[in-house]
Amino acid sequence: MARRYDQSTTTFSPEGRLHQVEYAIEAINNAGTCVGLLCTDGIVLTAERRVVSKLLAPSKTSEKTYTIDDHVVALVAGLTADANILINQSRLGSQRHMYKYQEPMPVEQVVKSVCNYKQAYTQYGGLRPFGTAFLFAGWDAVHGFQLYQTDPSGNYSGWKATVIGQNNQAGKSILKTDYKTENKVEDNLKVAVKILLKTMDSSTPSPERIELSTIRRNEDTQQIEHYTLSDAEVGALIEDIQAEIEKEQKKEQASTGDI
Amino acid sequence: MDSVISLVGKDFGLIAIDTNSPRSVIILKNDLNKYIEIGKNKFLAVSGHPGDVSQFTDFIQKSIQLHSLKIGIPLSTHAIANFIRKEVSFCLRKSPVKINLILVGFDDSIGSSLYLIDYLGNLQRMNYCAQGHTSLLVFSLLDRHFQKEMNIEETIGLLVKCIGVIRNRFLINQPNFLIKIIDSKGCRGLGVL
Repeated sequence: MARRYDQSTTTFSPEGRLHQVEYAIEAINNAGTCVGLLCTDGIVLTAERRVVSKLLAPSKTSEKTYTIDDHVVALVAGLTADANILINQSRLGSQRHMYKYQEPMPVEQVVKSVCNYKQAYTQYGGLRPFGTAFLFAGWDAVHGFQLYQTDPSGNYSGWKATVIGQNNQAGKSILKTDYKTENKVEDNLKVAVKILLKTMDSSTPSPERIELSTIRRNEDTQQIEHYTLSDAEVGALIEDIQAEIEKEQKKEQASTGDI
Repeated sequence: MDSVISLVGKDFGLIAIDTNSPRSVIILKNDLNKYIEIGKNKFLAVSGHPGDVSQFTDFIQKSIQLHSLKIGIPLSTHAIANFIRKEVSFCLRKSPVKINLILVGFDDSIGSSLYLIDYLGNLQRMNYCAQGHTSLLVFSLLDRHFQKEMNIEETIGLLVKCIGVIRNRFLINQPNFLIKIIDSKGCRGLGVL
């Protein structure tokens, strides 16, 4: 039934749905997982970097984490080529604001401008929607640290913690138990890596497949600092978490008397 | 012909504007308001050619209002000053606006600030400023007596001195100066001197 109404983005189905937009949202669910966590003193961002072939040259730049401006960072899930266009748009929007007002663009405004751009592709032009979802994270003087999720329809919402991409339901259930709003960045680093380990489809997680970064604000210099953890630091976190998981499994086995 | 004197004190900005509307050798109207209020506590005093004044300030005021409605948060004084400067600068090589503006604003985060935007698109943040021919008379007084973070009484005292010099020495009779204060509560008038 949906077949007759899903060929064009600009056609509603009889049930009042835009099928092309929904299919685009489906495309995101096969993408590498991205996690964002708001902390009291910053934001933790992490993403799974998909490596499809050993022959691929190691990337010099990130393929999941992008700097939009000094105070805004974006995580990408979905079609990378589509993402590049939208990253460009958001960077342009942010600099245009800076040019006009000599002040950094509030984070929500950056998100809104990208979302308005995405929405245009769901309403006119006959072009397909962008197959990308973003996690925008940043700081501004109005609302402090913020985390937003956007999807191909042009909708956005603010989150305290969220997961997008593959196995995001599993990730979100871990958030429900492990995420605390009063956590600091240090505590949430572990939560973020734990979620990735659960949602990644690999039994041998390695630091090369995880991009982990933090956003903090230096009170003295008043600068926003976006710090990407090194492979060694990520490796240490992975070991810690795997040890904890083993301990928990042993405790469970002991309590059910399975020894 | 317009006279504007403006100073920032401790958590407030004060501005005195003459209220004459002259045409050639006649005063057409002596209670003209040569200013606009932008948002809750930003104040723009404008001097220059009357047509440019109305058209440009209307545009600025409505643009800023549209921005606030769209975004939901008011622009800071610094952002408004830069926006105005951009507009003046943009028109400069097409159809220049022959106006000088003084923007006084109060932001909760930084307190009061004063910006001068002149007809060439120069932007300068200042502690005190004067516009018009009377600036020649008034600046020396302000240079001598201005101190940072004065209270309201001291600032008004300084304003009275400035207006006294204008009345004494300036050729054109400017009988009324409208005094406005801009602070955390907004813009309000302090009467006419």
